[in-house]
Amino acid sequence: MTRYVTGRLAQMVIVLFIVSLLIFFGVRITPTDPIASIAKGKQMSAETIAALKAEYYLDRPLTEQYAIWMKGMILGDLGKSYQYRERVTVLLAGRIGTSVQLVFMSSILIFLLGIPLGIISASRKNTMTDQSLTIASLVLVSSPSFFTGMILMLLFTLVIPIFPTFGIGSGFVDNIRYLALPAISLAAVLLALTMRMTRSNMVEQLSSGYVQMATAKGLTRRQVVYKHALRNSSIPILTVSSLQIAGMLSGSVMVETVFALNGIGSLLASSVNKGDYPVTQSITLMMVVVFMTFNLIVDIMYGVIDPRIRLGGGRKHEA
Amino acid sequence: MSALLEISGLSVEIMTTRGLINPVREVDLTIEKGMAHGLVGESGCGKSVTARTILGLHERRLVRVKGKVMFEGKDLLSLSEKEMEKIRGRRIGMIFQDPVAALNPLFKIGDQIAEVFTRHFGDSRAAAKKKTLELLERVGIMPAEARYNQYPFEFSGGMLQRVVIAIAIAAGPPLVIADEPTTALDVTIQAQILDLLQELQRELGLAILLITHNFGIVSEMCDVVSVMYAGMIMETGNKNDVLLNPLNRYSKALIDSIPSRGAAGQAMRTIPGTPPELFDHYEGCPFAPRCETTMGICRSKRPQLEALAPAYGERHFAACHLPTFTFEKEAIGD
Repeated sequence: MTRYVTGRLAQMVIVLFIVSLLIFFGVRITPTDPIASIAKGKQMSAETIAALKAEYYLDRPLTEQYAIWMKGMILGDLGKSYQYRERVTVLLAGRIGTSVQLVFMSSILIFLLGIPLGIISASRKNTMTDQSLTIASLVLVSSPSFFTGMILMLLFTLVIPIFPTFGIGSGFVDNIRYLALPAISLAAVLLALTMRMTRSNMVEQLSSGYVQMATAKGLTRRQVVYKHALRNSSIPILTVSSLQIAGMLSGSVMVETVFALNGIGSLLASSVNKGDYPVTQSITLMMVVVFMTFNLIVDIMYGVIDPRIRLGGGRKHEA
Repeated sequence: MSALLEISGLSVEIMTTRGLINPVREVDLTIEKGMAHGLVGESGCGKSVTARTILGLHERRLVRVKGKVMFEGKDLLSLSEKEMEKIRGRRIGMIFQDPVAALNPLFKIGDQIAEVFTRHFGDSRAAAKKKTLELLERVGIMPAEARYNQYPFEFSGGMLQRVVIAIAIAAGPPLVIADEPTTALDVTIQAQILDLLQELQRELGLAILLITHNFGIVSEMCDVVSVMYAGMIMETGNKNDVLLNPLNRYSKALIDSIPSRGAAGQAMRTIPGTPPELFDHYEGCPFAPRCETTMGICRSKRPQLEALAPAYGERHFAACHLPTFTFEKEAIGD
């Protein structure tokens, strides 16, 4: 197991290197002018511009700029933001809490609603319950998060004003209240997808031989569904839902913008617009790291759940 | 002798995506205590559906069942799902055809057996484990302690079928239903599994409903045999009576098509045609279209199980308008 994880970590380093190149050059292909972002529209003399370029290493060749960025990354220095003229680490530290809390709340919604509803749908296949849930999930899947967000805002400002529609509030409990609507709009599509995926997987498992055997043993329906079938569905469910959670960081760009939240997502959006290279690079790379870490955790979980993977079983049969 | 399971007038209709099918049509079947009862027929004749109906394994919403399944004084068809859960595994065990599919790939072999003890007797984990270890040895899985902790993928098909048998008999049920228990296994393993089943049957006084398409297995294992065709019981009686003197034309054709060693070099006898579709509705005998000797009545009136020839065995019943002992020329002239 240790060997496997070490191998995977080494792989991650290689992938990160390649991705960092893509990000670095990708950001610089965009038609934005970093100096304009620093100047914020003010007129500047040629000397000032030269001085600024020197301060942000923009006068160096690209390869050297890349080397400086990499060296900084390794030493924990993400560079300095052009638009805020502040260290990126400080900037991120002030905003990451909001995004993490938002993603966390959405994840809870996905796990506590998406998966259980999928299971209920599967174990009552083709009943009214199943069909209503199917229709609801289709509606959710086909409405993008910014649209859901705006509908929720309208609903809760005009009709039942119980949730605040923008800002973050102060204190943990207040945060939850403020972040409720953004979390719902961020989770909606993914929740519906998780539910559909859970349903189709559970339907498949519930029609398999070992489920019949478990029933023939006299186990209760609850034991058959939650102990036997769910365990066998958990690998695909876990894979998809954890990748969705990792992907929510990028989904938060839209939602944070709609709800005017000061998180990582809205920071990324403005950095891309303003040509703020260091911030854009850092956040993008951070998202990649999060995504890869989730992937690794899921792969380790496979072994925990499935003895055939853990023990390297030769004969693999369809469950 | 007293009846343990008494099925009467059992009809099953199942809603499928292709329409309503009718795989079991007015079946009567009696299983005596401690007897091995073979249920023989071609694929799709309704044997497995009958077995699954006894245990109520069909999804209730999609199935319409008529008739009675009397077991230990109760009509199983009238029981609620909760009541059936207490009968399955506890009073009636089930052995499935494919042991690889029947065991959960993610659970330890031992835990899958122990589940029966914890579920039906409320045993503690330790007590259930102790009973399981004894049971593993009894069905020939050794060393039990080490095998307990292994997973299905570490077992061969034959060993897995022993596990399935262990699960079926764990709670000491008086009746075990074995649905083609050796069909998915290698020929060399089949005999071992059948021997084990036979030993257990004698030792525990089990009644077995053995579903198979193989008369060889019937002649080795069973006391009583019933022949099924297109959802109907065509003939039933003591094994020797039926095998030596089949009364029903279908049973006879089926028994005649068993390849025998003496017949080496001769062409194998087959029954021309295929069984009717399960969707079809027909009057008369379902075998009439394939039967060598039919009369008008065969196509218009369904034959009932009757004691046609008491000379060929007590409790020997067949459903045939023109049983095999009838003078054939007379019939053809009809």
